[in-house]
Amino acid sequence: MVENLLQVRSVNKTYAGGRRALHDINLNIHGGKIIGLLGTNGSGKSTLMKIAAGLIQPSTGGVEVNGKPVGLETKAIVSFMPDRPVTEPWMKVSDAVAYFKDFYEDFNVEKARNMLEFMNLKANDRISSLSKGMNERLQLTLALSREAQLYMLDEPIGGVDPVARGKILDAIVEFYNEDSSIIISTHLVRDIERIFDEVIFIRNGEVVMHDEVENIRLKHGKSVDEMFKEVYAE
Amino acid sequence: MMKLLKYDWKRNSTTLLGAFAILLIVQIAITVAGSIRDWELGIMLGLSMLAYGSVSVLLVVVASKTFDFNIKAYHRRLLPVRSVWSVASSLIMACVSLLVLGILAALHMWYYWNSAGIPLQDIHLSEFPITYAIGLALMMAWKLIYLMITIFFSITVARSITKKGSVWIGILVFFALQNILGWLSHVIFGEKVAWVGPMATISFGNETDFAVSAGEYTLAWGALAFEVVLAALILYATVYLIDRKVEV
Repeated sequence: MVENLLQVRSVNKTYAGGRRALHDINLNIHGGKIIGLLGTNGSGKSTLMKIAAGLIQPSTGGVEVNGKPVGLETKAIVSFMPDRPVTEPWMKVSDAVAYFKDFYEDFNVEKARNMLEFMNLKANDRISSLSKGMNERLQLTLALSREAQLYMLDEPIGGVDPVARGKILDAIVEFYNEDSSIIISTHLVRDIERIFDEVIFIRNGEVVMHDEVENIRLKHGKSVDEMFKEVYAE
Repeated sequence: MMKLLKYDWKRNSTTLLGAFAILLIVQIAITVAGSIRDWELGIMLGLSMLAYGSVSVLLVVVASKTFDFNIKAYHRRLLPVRSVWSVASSLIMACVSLLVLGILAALHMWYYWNSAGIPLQDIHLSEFPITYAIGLALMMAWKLIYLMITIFFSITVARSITKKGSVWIGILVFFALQNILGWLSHVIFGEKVAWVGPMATISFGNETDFAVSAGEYTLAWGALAFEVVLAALILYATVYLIDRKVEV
């Protein structure tokens, strides 16, 4: 297992207009874990993921993936499923797969084929005609079909029905590469907590807890969902 | 970069092919209407060139919008590909589509020329050194590249600023670049422009007249080198802003 797969050091992010999204975030994530990045809307989950994926720059501080600062090299080993589609409306499912195959050396076409079948997606389906749930399934297929070292999924079950939600969670467990780590951001804790090894609670741009799920159960005698409600109680 | 270009083309192919199809229909309509109503050749040529001009503006707009889309699109920004290739991809799309349009326009001009029954020797092509023709073509291509680089830079500046009115700042940057740099070149290198060649005038009246002025076949190397250096700096700044300042 890779030690220090993702290192976040004193990261601050303030958007134009003065809105502070992250404040002094320090994290160290090892390989081989499924980690829940939990927080309410606007807590800074997506901002943290975007910084780690290289989509935006931190105001101060730095992020390293596998010892390398975020950049071209880390983009090749990080698979990020953002909160909006990474496909284009003109594409068919097969075009999206071809796009990923063209640009990512670690894209596994065979795995993508199996995942598409598992997700009930057809290669000839037009992306513009897919429902939200089916589109989420496609985005997840594209992200997990890479043999990446770090996967980051931003709200993979947000806004989809319970059936699609179950299917997506099953797919994550089924197709996740155990040598790598996967960070899943969500505020729908109850549906997903069963798959987490660790959780990170983030509130108002600050990490308020980073612990193993087993410890939370043993130390506090609570489920992650119960702990989440306690931490974020207003 | 060719892969980026492939996907830029796939995204824009309907628009581009549609524009060329409409252009074809318009040109046929001009020719047919002109023949039936017995229009003067000058009017037909003017209308044709107006249509070509309109499409050329559209092609520049499509390339600019493609670039704008690419620097903001998650799926493009996440690729392990250097940002400079994204600029190059949009640039090549603009150059290739305008080259095709230019060839069509040239062939059309040649058709009009033949229709008017003017002997080709009247142009005195043999009097032009071949280097002139090559130089003129290269200079036009360079001017287009320079224009597109400044447009891309202005778009990037606009996208780097997250405050209201950023589009206007981008527009301002574009005109400032065009004027200030042109003025700077003028100050440094005097009256010389990057290219001076023979001038051709065509007038259509009762008689078709074609005149070639006695021009100098000179290339102002200093001004050209200045433009090349500026383009390289602008390109570098564009890539820097995409990597560091454009947030998606």
